[in-house]
Amino acid sequence: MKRQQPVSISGMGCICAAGKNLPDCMEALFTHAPAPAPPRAFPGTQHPVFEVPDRFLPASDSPDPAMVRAVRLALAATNEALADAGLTPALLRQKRVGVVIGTNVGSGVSNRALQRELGGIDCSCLSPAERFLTVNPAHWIARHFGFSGPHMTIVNACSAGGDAIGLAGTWIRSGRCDVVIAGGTDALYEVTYFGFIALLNSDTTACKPFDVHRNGLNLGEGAAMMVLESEALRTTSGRQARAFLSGYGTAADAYHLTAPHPEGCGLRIAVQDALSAAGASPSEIAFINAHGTGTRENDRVESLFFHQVFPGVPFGSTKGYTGHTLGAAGAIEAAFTIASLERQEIPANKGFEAPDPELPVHPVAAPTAIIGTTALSQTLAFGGNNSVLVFRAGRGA
Amino acid sequence: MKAFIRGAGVVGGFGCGLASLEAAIRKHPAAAGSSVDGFSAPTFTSKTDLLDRLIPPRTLRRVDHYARMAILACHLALEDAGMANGLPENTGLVVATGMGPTANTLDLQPADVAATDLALSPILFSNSVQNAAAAYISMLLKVRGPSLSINQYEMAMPLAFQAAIDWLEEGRTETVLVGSVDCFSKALHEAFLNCRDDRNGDGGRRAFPVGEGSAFFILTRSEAQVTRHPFVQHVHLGGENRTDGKPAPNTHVLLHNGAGKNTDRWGQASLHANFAHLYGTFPTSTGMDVAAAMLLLRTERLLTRSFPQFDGGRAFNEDPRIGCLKQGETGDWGMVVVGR
Repeated sequence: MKRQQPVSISGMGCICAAGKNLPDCMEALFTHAPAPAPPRAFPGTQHPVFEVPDRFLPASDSPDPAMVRAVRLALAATNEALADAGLTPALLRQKRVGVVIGTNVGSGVSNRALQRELGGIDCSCLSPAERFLTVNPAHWIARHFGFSGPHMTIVNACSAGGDAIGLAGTWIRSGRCDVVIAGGTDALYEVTYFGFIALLNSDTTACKPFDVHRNGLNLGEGAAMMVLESEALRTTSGRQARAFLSGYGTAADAYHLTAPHPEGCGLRIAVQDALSAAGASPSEIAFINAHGTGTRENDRVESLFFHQVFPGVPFGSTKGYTGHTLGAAGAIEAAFTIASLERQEIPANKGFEAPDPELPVHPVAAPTAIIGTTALSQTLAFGGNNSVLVFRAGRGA
Repeated sequence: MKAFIRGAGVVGGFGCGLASLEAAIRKHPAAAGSSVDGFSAPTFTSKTDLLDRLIPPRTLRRVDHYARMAILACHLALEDAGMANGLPENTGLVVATGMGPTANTLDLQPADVAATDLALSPILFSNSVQNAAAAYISMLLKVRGPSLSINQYEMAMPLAFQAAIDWLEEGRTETVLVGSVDCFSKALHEAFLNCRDDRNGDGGRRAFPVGEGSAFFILTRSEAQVTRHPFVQHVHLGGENRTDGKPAPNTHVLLHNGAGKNTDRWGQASLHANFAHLYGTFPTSTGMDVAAAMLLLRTERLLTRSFPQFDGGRAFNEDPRIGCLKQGETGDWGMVVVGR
């Protein structure tokens, strides 16, 4: 993988169980972590989840009745990211603005999700094309803001949000777009909720990433979006980059539908590619935001990998604050990674109390100061997808 | 950047493989399709029995029809490329779908069924995840390069070609297996009943049956490896309010298979054709169109037979280009331009 031109990130937005915007989320990560609870969306069920309280969704957001929750979450995060970048839709109207969003639920023809959003109203009045467009977040965001560039919804399962940010970098570097809105979004959905229970991957208590007693994940929901822009546009406007996307690597395990490769084969390739693209070495990495789902195999593979490739580099999972937000996870954790670079501090790996003697290295158990300007965020997905993003601190950091 | 097509595999209502598609083009049958129980309109459905002769059935016992079509198309692409020893390990994989596997699995279960009563099994749930086809392909072909699954309805396949070319261009990989898959479902049936009145190759309008299928292509950067097939010249993306991409080029032949009715805005000089009567219409049918374009460019007699009015003119011989156009219902459009 050749070294690539870094791409500036001038704005970020995030909404999840930890907070209604990125500053609130970061505050929660360091002060008052939310706890998972049985889902209000599916009464009578017990496996706890991290739901986004309705009060987090902007009051001014008077949604189209057909707008599904995953799209509402994406819209909230996009509004925050654009405001954070100091960009308005009017300013962007003359620019080539693309949209790339990763998701699980917000794709396909989610009739069940749509019908639930519509309060049980039969949505057969909508053509399947309309149903598709109603649940497709990239289409929705592009149409809502009148963006004039390409838009694409990525369905790479749990790595989709990270992949969206990585591909957005390509769209900027190729000159296809001046600005790309990129990230991930997912809402709780009974198919995924009961699906993970069927796979025996869902913990009945709060998840405990990397802990000896870890017993599965807690599902979550949320969205995070970033504004990536060309260097020419950013410098012309005088905007400061919050960070730079300096490397992206992605590779498949080619091993198993639902389990990671035991030696992290695809992860190793993805990390190598991301570091090569960034022109960085493992020793330059200040910290790693791990995927850290709380499932036995995922955490074992990551710990082994960190021990071999990143000895001594602090790492942690933030899923104890957000749950596993699936298609949004890569984007939410990328936003946390950049915000942690800015703070020069990473949060405790919530849920980790008792070290697992089978794991060679362990996550940070308390908020930890970090030194450095480069960090890595990685996601391991269903189907064997591995995606890795390398960020460098912006000039304002 | 040109991306060279080293091999291609197709699975559709016409059969399996490029030879079957070529035979269908030669025969040029009227739109027919076959009936499926419970559906009023004829459809083009695909058979994947051949896969059981290529891969031990036990290996595929958990794989659904959606992924089987994609896996079979990939195997046929390898066979067409003469790559019996498999693909390079760092081969990239891009899978485009318009509706994904959920159309036939969990997503369309009635909303009034209580969540706790959903007929969920680990296998059914796993197969409903949108990147399941990509996962099976990478596992069976042992490819560990970048992997991407795109769901953007009718624009998914042009976007997939664009992503594949981006990867080749930025040196992320030297080879990309890029393709599409959509399977017949109630949703697909409904989606296209109202918009299958497309213009055919004679300039008239003709209703086409709903289809399903998969088309995969092995793309490389290196011309040296390529012997028979054309190349992908460009991917153009645009829309009614879109400014991205270059203006759509004039092409010698324009294949289209979408909801849009106004195809005159592209290439006044082009000959227009629609091969949906061979494989039906579905969101990612652009993959089939690209395969058909390959065959037309490869075999001049096939071209002149399909377009007798063009009669293999000199202009075509000098710099032949076929544009495979998909117009979406929202005004977006994508065009994959194939050249020789």
